[in-house]
Amino acid sequence: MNPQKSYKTTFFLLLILLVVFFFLNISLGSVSIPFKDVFSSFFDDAVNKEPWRTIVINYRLPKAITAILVGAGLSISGLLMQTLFRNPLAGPFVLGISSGASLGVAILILGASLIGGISAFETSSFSMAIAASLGAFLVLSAVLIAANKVRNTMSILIIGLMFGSITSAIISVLAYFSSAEQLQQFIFWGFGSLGNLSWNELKIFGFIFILGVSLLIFIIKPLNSMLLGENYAKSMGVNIKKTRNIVLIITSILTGVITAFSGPIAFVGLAVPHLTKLIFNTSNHKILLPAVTIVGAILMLVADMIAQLPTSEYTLPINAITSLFGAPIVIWLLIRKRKIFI
Amino acid sequence: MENNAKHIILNIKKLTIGYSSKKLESVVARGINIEVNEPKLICLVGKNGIGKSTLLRTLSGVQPKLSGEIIIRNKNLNTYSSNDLSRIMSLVLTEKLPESNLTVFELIALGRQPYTNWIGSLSQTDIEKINEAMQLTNIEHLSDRKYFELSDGQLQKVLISRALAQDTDIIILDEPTAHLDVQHKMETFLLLKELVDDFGKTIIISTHEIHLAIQSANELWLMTEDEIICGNPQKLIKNESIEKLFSSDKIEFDVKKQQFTLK
Repeated sequence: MNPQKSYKTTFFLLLILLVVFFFLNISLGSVSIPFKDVFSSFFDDAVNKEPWRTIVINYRLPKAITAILVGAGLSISGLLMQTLFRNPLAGPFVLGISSGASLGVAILILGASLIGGISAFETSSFSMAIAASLGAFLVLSAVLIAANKVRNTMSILIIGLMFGSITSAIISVLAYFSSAEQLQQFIFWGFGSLGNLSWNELKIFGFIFILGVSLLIFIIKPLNSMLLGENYAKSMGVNIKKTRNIVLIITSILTGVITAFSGPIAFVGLAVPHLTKLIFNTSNHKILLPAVTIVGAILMLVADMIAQLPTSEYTLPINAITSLFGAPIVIWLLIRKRKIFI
Repeated sequence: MENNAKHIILNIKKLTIGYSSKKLESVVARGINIEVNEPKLICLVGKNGIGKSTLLRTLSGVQPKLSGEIIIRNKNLNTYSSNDLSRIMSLVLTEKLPESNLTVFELIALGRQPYTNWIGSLSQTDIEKINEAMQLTNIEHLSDRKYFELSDGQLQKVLISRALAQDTDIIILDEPTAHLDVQHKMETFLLLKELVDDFGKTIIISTHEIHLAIQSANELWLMTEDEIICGNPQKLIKNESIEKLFSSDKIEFDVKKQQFTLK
């Protein structure tokens, strides 16, 4: 008998897709660069025009890598949330965690004028990452504490939405008191953007990302038992508190760092795990975690290509693209007759 | 060890169960003293709301006790790590499973988690244990089905299989026959009895099927407002303890039929 499918072919195809879209993503942009020259840029080969190399290496490549990290990280966070809350509609955005990260950044950018002391800090990308992670952690902890008091999953979602509203309100108040310049900085950040990251920033991003993802090895097994609910998981030897705390830490690190560098990006965390479950038809986290990582990365690369409006000078806010495509997916999931699963 | 005259499986001393919060403690039952020294099928019976689930939840460590002692295999329940306990005691609960995409095989395989490595890979032994558990409950043909497609009767067997795969001496089941038809109820009792007789497991279940419990259990725990009366079913019928289960004057226990009837 075949107790556990390995899904090798599916994984193989997805990886090919990922590579294809990675190169497509790099090849497309406001300046049209022939395929051949894109490739030569990676090596020391001659490129027709030297600026092309700079565009590819210092602009497009970091952006594509950012897209992969953002897509993968948000999808992993979404999957973890859905399992932890045993709720198919959980996700970093729905539960107000992205808003928490936004609050952290808002306090850093906008609050600087309110509290004079903080302005001493540079709004460097590293301090943004920390502020966003702290904000995410704060809201996630609050939601989790509330979730322990009410067992009803619907209430948990509503509580998450309420926390989201509270943080938005605080951001509005902060915005009211801040200068036009700061406000502009914050609003542009809020649109979401995958570009604008220098290689140095990307290194920090990548380092924190790997830090968060590596913690996953501690919870793959417990996550599977959590599928039967906490009491069963406990009876099978799972340390619930530890598992929950690790999920909490991973999610706030990933959501925090992603939100800090790319703005609050909606729907990816919610929609990708469901799309992945449609493809893989399993709830096993040993399969799902790598799967959502790849699917999330692919979708983010595609979203970025759409946002780029190939050959045009304009770049649409990435947040608008993910919402435009993500929201219908969620609606479609809900009205479809088939059940949706955690 | 095996020949030890008094090999204690479960020993409950002066146990008080219930719920406590910062302000008040609501006691469900107090002064419970029970000893189990040999593998048995134990049926916990009592009317709705008397605290059967609370007792089982406390015994399984899901819910903290208020006071007293629970000793499992010569060791205090509190001193077990959750991983050690998971190799001694498995559970079948009444709570609804969250909806997920697990297959029957995967669900039962989760029962092997106390024994698997960090990522949960199944060894040959694990797969054998899982197949054995499925054979015992006659559900091999369901192996690849998603568990949400199953009927209540099938799902109950799957959950019992999962507990079996966990390979524990003690299995606690909270109302395992609640949603089942007569045939499945009887089959479940037979299966549990078989597990006690053939595999030397100690099985504690709560149930409202007093008639079936009398026929199959080695021991009944009658839970009443004042105390828990333990003993062999026939003995409890003879000394009329079983009559104390219900306080209504509209029903009585029919000794011949071995069940409660309307007066």
